[in-house]
Formats: sequence, structure tokens, C-alpha cells
Amino acid sequence: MNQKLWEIVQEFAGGIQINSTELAVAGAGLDSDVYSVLEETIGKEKKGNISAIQWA
Amino acid sequence: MTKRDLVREKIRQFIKAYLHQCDLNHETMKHISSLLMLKGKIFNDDAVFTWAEFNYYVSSIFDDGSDRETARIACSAAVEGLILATDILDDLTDQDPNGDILTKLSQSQAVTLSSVLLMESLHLIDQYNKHALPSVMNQLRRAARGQVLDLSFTFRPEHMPNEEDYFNLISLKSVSLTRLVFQLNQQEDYLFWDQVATLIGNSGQIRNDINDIFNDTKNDIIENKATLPLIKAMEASQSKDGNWLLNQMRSVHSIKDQGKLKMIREYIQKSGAIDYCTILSKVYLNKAIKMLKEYQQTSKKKTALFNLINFLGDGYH
Repeated sequence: MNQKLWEIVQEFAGGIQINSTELAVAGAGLDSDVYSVLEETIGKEKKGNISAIQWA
Repeated sequence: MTKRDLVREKIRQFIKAYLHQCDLNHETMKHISSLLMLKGKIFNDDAVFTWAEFNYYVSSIFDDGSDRETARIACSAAVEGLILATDILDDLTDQDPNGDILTKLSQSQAVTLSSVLLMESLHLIDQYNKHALPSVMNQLRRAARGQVLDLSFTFRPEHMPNEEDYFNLISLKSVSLTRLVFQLNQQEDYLFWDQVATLIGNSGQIRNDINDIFNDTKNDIIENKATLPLIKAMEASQSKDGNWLLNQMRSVHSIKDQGKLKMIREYIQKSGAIDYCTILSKVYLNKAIKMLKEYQQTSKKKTALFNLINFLGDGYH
């Protein structure tokens, strides 16, 4: 459960704009209890305001 | 006064009266009172989660009889004392000179106070709940073993701890303390309560580790401590930019290096590690609350369970 969640969080890390459909598709394999917290945490927080990390 | 205020006040009054009856000098009593006013402690009016109250509400779900009230309050005071004793040792071993505790005490005072708190707390448990003492001692031993391992739980070239290592460590270092609370109050249905205690302990420790990343009085970044947010950010850094994060962390030697610390903190945030840990912490707590709600359906202690669920919800969100 944790690895899948980590992959999804990384996918959306760095300020990529998220819409609910994309999040739902990415989170399809997650337990519903985990998905609801993911949506609550990431969905609300990331609206494209954070600039993407500059990977060296 | 709310029910919660009333519980808190009863525990405070017990602690004050107990400290007066102990043969401690004025300075020691003053130090203990002052430490119990710190963030998250029972004398602090703004504390949303205190260990004393946590014990009180856990105890109530097993036996809320009024004849047990004094013992419940006394053991809650004891738990507060045990946790404060371990917090002091934590700050000493982490060498956090800017931490809340070591700005108030010298190192020798800190060691002595920790010892006094430990002994007095065990004495209280012996007086009021003797049969649970072996379980309490067992969990304290596990926590102490965890502290030993934690000393060297850092990022080193020969060993980069991963998420599994982290959970194994906190099972000893921190979850032992939530288990202690359940075992102090209940000796049956071990597996069920152990699961609840583990979920609550995991949630609380992850949340503390997130907060410590952004706290200038904590040394986790400078000491290269392998907490979960740092482990995940390090994993991202290893795969994407050849260990930029580790190299930066190694180059920070003082809290005064605010420029680098700011850059590191932003990097950790943007790596997704903070979001990941925040989600995990919430998921673990939600699972614990779900288990308590299911238990509540067939339990006769519905109100006591409601109070515990409410307390955990209030304290963690």
C-alpha cells in the first residue's frame, strides 16, 4: 500500500495541476480509506501554486 | 467547564498534591512544574493532546467505575511523568541545546529530573495498578532499546535506512509507549489493542517527525537523522539527482546556516515526502478510529469510547 501511495504522491509532487479525474485514475489501485485521505490532502493543496522542483 | 477541562483539572490537582507530598526540594518541584507547562504537557492550557488525558480516556473504556477514579487519575499522572522522563532523555541524546527542555535545565539537572520522574511514576503505578507493572516495565525496556538504536539511525554511506527500517525502529522507540498505555489498562484482547496502539503510535510519531523538519530547535537535518520524511526525500533524491539532498545535509553544521536549511526544507516539501507522510499519519489514525468505532458497536462502554475517539480526533487533526 505504501509504495503505490508514494509513487502517486511523487507523480503529483512539484506543483503539477491536478484535476479530480487524473487523481482518481492514478489512485485506482489504492484502498478507499487511503484514497480519500490522498484526495483530501493533495487535491485541496495543489492547485498549481507550487513551482516544480528543479531536479539537478 | 467541559468534561475534558474537568478531567485535565483533576489530573493537574493530583500531580500538584503528589509533588507536595514527595520529599523533593523546592527547585526540583519548580522544574517539574515548569516542564509540565511545555507544549503538549498537562499544565499547558493550549495542549490538544496530552499523554495523561490519553491514558485517562483509554482507562475509561475498560473500567469507568467511580471507585476506580482515583487510580485512573493517579496512573494518568504517572504516564505523564514517564513520557516527560523519556522526553528529557530524548533531548539529551539528540543534543538539542535549543530544545524546550534543555533551555530550562543544565544537563546534570536534566538527567536527575528524568530519573526522579521515572522512579516516582513507577512508584505511582505500583501503588495504584500493581498488576500492570511488569507490562509497563516491559514496554519501557523496549522503548529504551529503541533509543539505543536511534542513536545510530542516521544516513551513512554504508547504510541508508529505508521505510521498513524506520517502522521497525519506531515500533520500539515510540509505539512501545502507546502500547504501554493500553497494557497499563487492559490485559485481555491483546492482539486487538496492540493493533490500535500501533496505529496510534505510528500516526503520532510520523506527525512529530514532519513537524521536526520545520522546527529550528530540532537537529534532525543537521544530525542526518533517518526520519520518514527524510528517508522518502532521500529516496527521491537518489533516483533523480544523484544524492543532492544528502550532500546538502552533510554540508549543514549549525542551525545558524538558515539559508541552506531553507533550501533543504523546500526541497523536502517539493519531493512529495511531506505530503506522503501527512497522508500516512492520517490513514493510520483513521484506521485506529475505525477499529474503535467497530468495537463501540458491541461494547457497553459506548460513552467512554466516544470520549476516546473524540479526544484522538481533536488531538490529531
